[in-house]
Amino acid sequence: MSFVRLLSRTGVVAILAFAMLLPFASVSAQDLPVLVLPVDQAQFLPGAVFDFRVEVHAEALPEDFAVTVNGTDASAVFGIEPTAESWAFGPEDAPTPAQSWVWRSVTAPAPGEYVVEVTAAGATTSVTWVVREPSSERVARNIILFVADGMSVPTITAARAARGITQGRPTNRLAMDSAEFIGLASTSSVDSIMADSANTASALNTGHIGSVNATGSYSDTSPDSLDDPRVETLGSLASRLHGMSVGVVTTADFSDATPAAVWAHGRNRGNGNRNAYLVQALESGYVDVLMGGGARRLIPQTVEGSRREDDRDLFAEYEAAGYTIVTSATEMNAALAAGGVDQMLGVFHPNDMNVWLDRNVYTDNLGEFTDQPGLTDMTLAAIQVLSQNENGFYLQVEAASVDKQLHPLDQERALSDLIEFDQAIAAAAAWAAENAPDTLIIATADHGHGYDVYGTVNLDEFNAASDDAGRREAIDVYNSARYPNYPDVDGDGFPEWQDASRVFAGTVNNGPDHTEDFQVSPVPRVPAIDDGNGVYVDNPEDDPNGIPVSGVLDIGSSTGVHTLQDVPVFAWGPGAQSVVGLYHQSEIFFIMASALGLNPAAGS
Amino acid sequence: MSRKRLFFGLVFAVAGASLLGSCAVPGGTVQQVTPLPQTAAEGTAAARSALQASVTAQMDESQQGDSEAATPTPFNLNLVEGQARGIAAATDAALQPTPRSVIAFDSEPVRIRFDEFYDGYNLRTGLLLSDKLVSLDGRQAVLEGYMAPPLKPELDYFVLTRVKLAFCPFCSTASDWPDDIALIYMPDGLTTVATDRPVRITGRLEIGQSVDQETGMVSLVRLYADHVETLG
Repeated sequence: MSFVRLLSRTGVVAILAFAMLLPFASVSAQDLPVLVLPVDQAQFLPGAVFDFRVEVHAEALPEDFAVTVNGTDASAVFGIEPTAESWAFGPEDAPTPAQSWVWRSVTAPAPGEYVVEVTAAGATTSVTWVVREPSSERVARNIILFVADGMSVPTITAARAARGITQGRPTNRLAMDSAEFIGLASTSSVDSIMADSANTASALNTGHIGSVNATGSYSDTSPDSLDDPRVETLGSLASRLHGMSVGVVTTADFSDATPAAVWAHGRNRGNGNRNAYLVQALESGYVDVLMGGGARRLIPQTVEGSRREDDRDLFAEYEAAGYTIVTSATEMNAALAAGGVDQMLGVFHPNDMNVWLDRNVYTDNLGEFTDQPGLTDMTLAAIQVLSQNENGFYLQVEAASVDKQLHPLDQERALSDLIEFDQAIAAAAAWAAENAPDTLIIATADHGHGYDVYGTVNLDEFNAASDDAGRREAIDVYNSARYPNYPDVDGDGFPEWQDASRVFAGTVNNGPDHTEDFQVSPVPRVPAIDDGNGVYVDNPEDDPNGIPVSGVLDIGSSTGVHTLQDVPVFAWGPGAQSVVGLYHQSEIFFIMASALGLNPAAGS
Repeated sequence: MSRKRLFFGLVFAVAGASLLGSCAVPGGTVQQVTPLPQTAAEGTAAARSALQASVTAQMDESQQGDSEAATPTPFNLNLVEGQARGIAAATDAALQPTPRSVIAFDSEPVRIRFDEFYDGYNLRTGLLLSDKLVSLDGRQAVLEGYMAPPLKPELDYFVLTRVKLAFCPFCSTASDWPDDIALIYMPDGLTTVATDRPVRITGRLEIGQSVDQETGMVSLVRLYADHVETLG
């Protein structure tokens, strides 16, 4: 647990000496760009560990450079000296110099406001942090956070309606419909009104609103994307304060942004950082269960099929650290049946796992990976391992491919994975009711997509039409829409999309140039292709019978993008009432921390 | 350009046959292939480490916000004519995998398809090279595919792909370059002319990682072409 290094709060000395050693330069009095991380209005639990960085974008620190917290020298407040760093960033032909002081692994132990003032060249930059009152009462032993990546209210509505609706009433409601309490969460980022899955999942897991692509950290300008100032995760707090177990389940490569947010720290969710995140998970010491895809990032680069950029064999390292390793549903079930599993690494695909529709209907799309567990299986397996800990557990379960299939505008694959997500929630809720009623279950999305249904399509008419006008004539709205007729003959809760003759007129409100036929695709959709010059044009092999839809993104975009909408928050169990209201999604961290009675300043 | 984009732009043959459902190797049996000789593996590792160092030195900038950046391709490499061929020939000799059982071929050239390259993907050890592919090392072979869009109008090498690159659904992200590719070196003195029609290559096949420390170019399957024929 290298990041969590608790500090002595007594070492308030020798800072002036340090400051005098710095190479001060003469800088004319002008406003220098100053970056303070964590940012203004950042919120903390008292005693949560974080890094504090101040950057001044100048050739040298000005003579009057000073950093205070509530009027006292920052180093005295935190009890350690900063490390001075220097770099340049930006375009090579016009680099910007940066000078930085960073205080690593500090805490703000007392509730209240912390006003940070940075003086540089006669100007003062002021930032206020808020340290919140901690909860003193633990009401939940376990927390399961379900995250459907890219899920929105319209996708939930569509999934419910696809499962059956008559006389305006749904006939086979979702588990999410039974939530005891419901709230709304906004999703914007520090640097953008929009968000991605890295900083949204990071907000859920740390309570901090970061920059797009950043996980467990505030983005600085330094060249190293792994040295950005860190903030502490819920998993770290739950582990070190309560001795809880921590687990991560996803249908993505488990180094992907959403699962990694449980433990990872880095600015860029891209390949290099993802490989580092897998090492961080091992080194964190608090992630006990990891399940998903991503084998190619665990095998050394010397092996064909690897995506690592070093020679580490992480399978071997996880095994040496005590993890039971499984690579198929059969192996997973056998390991659990044999017992004695305290930590588990389940890796079921080289890349992201396949979606429900391909695992269960279009199985030709699986290639050789025909024995992948479903999300419900993985969730229950993780619970079985984690619930052995009497101190409780924190488990994050992600349905990754609601998002991964809405990007390429694949309605049926996205909605099927949403239903699988819903069934995993039902299974977890049933487990909790039976075994651990002191389990708080929260289900939400990290961000939305622009999907909605505006009517139905008569497929016989649509497919018989000889031109686009005829195809558009087959789209029925208002009372003409009537009801879709997706059957569910086998009663598994998943519509047989392929057997319907009246289907959703469901589209995504942004995307590249493409065609849309509203029908399930036997292969995962690829709506647009590169024309060879980086311009994405309609893929003639995707929905060839569809109506043309003009792109509303730049011509280099191959798929749709995330949208701004607030996302729903559903909750069951002790502490669930706190999700009511409208807040930024970072509040969900504090709701979970409160339910666990986490007060890092007081210790366990 | 970010580090990851450059790196993956240079890796010509790597993982994920299973990514493309229709590209997947038939049969589900996972078999162990004889690994690279230890010295060869170490050589590869050393070369890659050097590559990492040089790439890192060049690229430590503007990593932010590039996860949605423009499509990376393996054609970011600016080699002068003839350079790639020389590099590959010089570096591949020590990096040859050995087959479990050598397949004898009655006559050459031997026709091989992209979907015969691999026997599968072992989640813990990676892609398994087929006996046929490994046995063809140094032999005359025939391979058909599509010419990936070249970096420059005239080059003495190009990348051959199973499907038209533009139709490859997973080629648009940096980490998902497909496996079904081979590096083709044109006959001496000839350069490529881009075509979007399928092409048939006849020439000497070479198998094994070829890594160049200077350019970082990595390839697994190379064909030194005697004939390049445009089909259909």
